[in-house]
Amino acid sequence: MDILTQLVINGIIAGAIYTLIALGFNLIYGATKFFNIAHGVFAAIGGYTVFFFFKLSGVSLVPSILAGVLLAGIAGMLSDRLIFLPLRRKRGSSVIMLVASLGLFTALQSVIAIMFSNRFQTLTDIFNIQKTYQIFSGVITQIHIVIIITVISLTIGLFLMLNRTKFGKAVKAISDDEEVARIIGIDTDRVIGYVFFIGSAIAGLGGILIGFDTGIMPTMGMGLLLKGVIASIVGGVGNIYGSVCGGLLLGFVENFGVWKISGEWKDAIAFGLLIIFLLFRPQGVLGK
Amino acid sequence: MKKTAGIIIGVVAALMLVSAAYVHSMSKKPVVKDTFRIGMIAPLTGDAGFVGVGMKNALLMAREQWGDGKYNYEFVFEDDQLDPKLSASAAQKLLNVDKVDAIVTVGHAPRITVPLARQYDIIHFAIAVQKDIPDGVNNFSHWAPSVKLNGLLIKEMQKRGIKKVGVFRTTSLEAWVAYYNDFLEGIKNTDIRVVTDQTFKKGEKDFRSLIARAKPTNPDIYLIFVETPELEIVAKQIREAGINTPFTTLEGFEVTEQPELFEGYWYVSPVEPSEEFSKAYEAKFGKRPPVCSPNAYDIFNLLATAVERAGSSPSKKPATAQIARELKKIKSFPGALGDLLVSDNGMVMSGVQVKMIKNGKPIALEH
Repeated sequence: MDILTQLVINGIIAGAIYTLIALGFNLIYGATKFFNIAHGVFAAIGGYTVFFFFKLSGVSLVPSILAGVLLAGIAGMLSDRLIFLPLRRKRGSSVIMLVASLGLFTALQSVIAIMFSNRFQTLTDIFNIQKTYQIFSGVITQIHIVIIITVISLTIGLFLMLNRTKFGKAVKAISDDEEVARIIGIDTDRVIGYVFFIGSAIAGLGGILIGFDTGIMPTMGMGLLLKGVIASIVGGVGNIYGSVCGGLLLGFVENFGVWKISGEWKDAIAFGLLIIFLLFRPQGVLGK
Repeated sequence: MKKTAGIIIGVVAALMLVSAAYVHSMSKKPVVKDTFRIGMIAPLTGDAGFVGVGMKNALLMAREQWGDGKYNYEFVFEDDQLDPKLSASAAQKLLNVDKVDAIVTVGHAPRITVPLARQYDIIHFAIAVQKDIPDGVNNFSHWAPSVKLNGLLIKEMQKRGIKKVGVFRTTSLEAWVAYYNDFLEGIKNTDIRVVTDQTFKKGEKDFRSLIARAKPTNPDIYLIFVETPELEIVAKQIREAGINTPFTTLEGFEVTEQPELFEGYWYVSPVEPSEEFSKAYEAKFGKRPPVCSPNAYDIFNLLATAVERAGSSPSKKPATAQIARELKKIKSFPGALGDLLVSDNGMVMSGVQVKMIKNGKPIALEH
């Protein structure tokens, strides 16, 4: 195994995982202009739904995954209907929305911990060694291939949705100016609700795939969210394609970083990259 | 004259009557036993929750078996989820609110409790590997010493002809750092060398790039110093990277709930608990005693023995210094982890052994 090839593969895998979180985060940020901290917990909701149906209740895999994605999406849409929409109507600032999302994150995370305990759980039977494939001189597992294909499919799907559908154009209009979008007749509340559904469902899918790769725990959302936010800012906050760019860049920098320095510095490398971008290119690689 | 004698006899008789009544009432008054309160700080929930639950069960079982002693023994259990912040607040609560006389700790809590035990003058019993924790005054420890564990680990490596060791270890828990430092010290005059040392923080789930770095060094064995679930994740990702090098560790394979990952691999850990303890635990709680539970069981018995020996009256529990003195007098004590000896610096000596995971269960290879 050539170390460079393996590091490239590892960078792509990590980048794909960060992209999964950043995609939904950026979609919601683009429409609402606030940092939805609660986004991370929807990944955990997806993971734990599959854990409940697939592992605990013996439901087959595909319906369990569908349930996980749907429940995460519904939870996201409900969070908008019950918390963020009323705040938007009261002209709550983005800081108020952020604090509310932090509260929601903490509450939902605690509910998951109460229901399933704080323990680390796996979605497969024990820590099954996954099937691996050789790519040049590197190794990649089956689930990583699934993650990469999922990210590519989601990015293409979101691109088509945003550019080829009426709904996508409405989302872009809201993203440009919500007030004007409303004036021209777009039901902004309904569209933002759907955006929450789609963004949270993507996070839920991310949580499920990560669960199949390593495992799940109630606190998994915060770590994922932080990396997703870094990927968003590095790629261009609010920009769907920036998510992919930022996620991959973050994945590469982290993995090549620990090639030369100790693994304890992985998070420091990620946040170092964030600070560099905030200082020298706050609009990110692709801008808004 | 007769009248005076009659008065004197009357007074004496009355006094005798009163005295007899007083003595009678005193003899009937129940002796009020003083209560010795023991606090425990351990993870009761989370990934390491099974450790604290096992300790709690063992303490309760030990008290039940102790029966009616000179003093009453009460427990206060605090869950720190293996989080040092929670360990600190739990220690403060036990000392200031519950006013405990002794604290039993594990994980991050020992390091936090050591100075507090001195400040509040209580007995602190740590299930900890760090050799600077016991002082024989307030602080005692009951865990096989790291030097002893590493000594056997190195001896076994030499026996098996292992020369190149690859290390994966966390620097987030002091115990693993202590183990690694003693391992390095122990291999100084041997032909064993560490060919790769990969460190990471607790909570890390992606070890693939560290594995890619380690693989070209081609070690004879991977020494993994981390607790569950990172232990299993590292092992799984090493295998997924196409590496079939065996694993070893100190104590770690004992705690895994996925022993299948380590099937056929040897490791070094404290001795297996006695059959008597294991059977009693299994009969009461329906499962094998987890790691640290025999230590907790021994700690209660050692503490209660010292308290009862040091105390002169059931109505007044002995002072900490008296208990510490009695503890250090114990040179042979039948414990769950064999014949125990309390050293003058407060360390309870117990044995170590080489074990192997066979059919998913740890079996002893050598004492």
